[in-house]
Amino acid sequence: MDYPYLSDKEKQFISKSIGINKRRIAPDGITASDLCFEAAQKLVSELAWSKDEINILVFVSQTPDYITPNTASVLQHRLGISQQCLAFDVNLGCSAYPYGLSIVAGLLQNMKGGKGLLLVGDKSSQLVSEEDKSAALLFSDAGSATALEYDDQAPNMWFDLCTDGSGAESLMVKGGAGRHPFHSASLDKTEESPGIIRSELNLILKGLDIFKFSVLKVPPSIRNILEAASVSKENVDYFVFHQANQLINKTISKKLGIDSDKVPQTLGSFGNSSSASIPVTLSSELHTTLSRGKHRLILAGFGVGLSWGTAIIETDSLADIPLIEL
Amino acid sequence: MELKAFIQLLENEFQVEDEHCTLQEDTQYRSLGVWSSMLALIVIVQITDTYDVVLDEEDIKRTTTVRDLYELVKQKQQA
Repeated sequence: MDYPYLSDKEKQFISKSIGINKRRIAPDGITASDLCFEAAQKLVSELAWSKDEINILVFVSQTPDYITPNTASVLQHRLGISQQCLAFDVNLGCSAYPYGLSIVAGLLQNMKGGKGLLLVGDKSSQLVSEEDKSAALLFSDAGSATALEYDDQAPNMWFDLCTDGSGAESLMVKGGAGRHPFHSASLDKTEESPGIIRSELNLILKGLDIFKFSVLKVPPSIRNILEAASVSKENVDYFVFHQANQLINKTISKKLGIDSDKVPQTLGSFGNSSSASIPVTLSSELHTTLSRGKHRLILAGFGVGLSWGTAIIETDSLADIPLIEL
Repeated sequence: MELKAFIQLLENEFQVEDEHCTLQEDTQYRSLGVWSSMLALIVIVQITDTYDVVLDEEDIKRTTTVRDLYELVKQKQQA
């Protein structure tokens, strides 16, 4: 990693302990919705879905194209999806994928039919100060698309979705919105501590707080959902966790007594791709496996909010679509 | 939970950063040159693994010496 603000030892720490070796950064002009658009085009084409059949489009991101209108509306038009489609944005980050699945699945359940697209992604690189060594080398940019179709024979999906807003400041961009609107000094950077230089438009990341939150909240959430679904952890094929920090995921796995073979990791190659880290891991590590037969998965996202969500889903011969690099 | 084993646990991690670093119960560990937010995370992970106690940044800031940290972990373990 060619980065002047970290010592060699600090770079080693990021590689060895946090587990990040490479990151994917989208160039200027490419947004999270552009990444999701490409994923959606590929997915809809592979599934041979007619765009007239899609009646739900949910975009989950912290990096929308505009303050207003919502990006889902822009994507509905850009993708050529029918106007008979409800479309809206959800502002969530690390917990986005379980929440998004719950929202789209719930809408399909209420409609008793239809097809939905869940588009989840972030361009985190636009939020992070390059001169903030606590965050600069952690994040990647990624977008994802997931297709869901109503099937009254499908097994239940189980969700445990939680929030603790008392930790909101542990991961926050303070400026640029309603509480602290953009002003003439919004772009000014200050050195808040050695090696941490950022503006009020940059992400603040309190890593120790996030570690504590993650290892205290996620294991009970997984235990709760296993109990609610009457599923033993031995009967789960894979535990796909948000990819923030190898130390966090190892600690969660250890607390739950999960074999590391069941916990795929993509931090090394993709860093922390925020809201998209779970679908990135599914696509990168499991796309072939999940295309062959039935699998039971636990998905756990946790972070900004503070918000965390766990899902148990059962998949059956998913379309075998590998990750796309633009 | 023994103080000697606790000091050894911490010392092992500090020595990854500086092989000559030694700790005593009265060492003001956060004043040492090797101390950093990254080492803090490693120490917190080790304490979580070994004693099933999860500390945060404020907990760490409330301690000065190795013994302070030991007492805090012990207190949380018994809570």
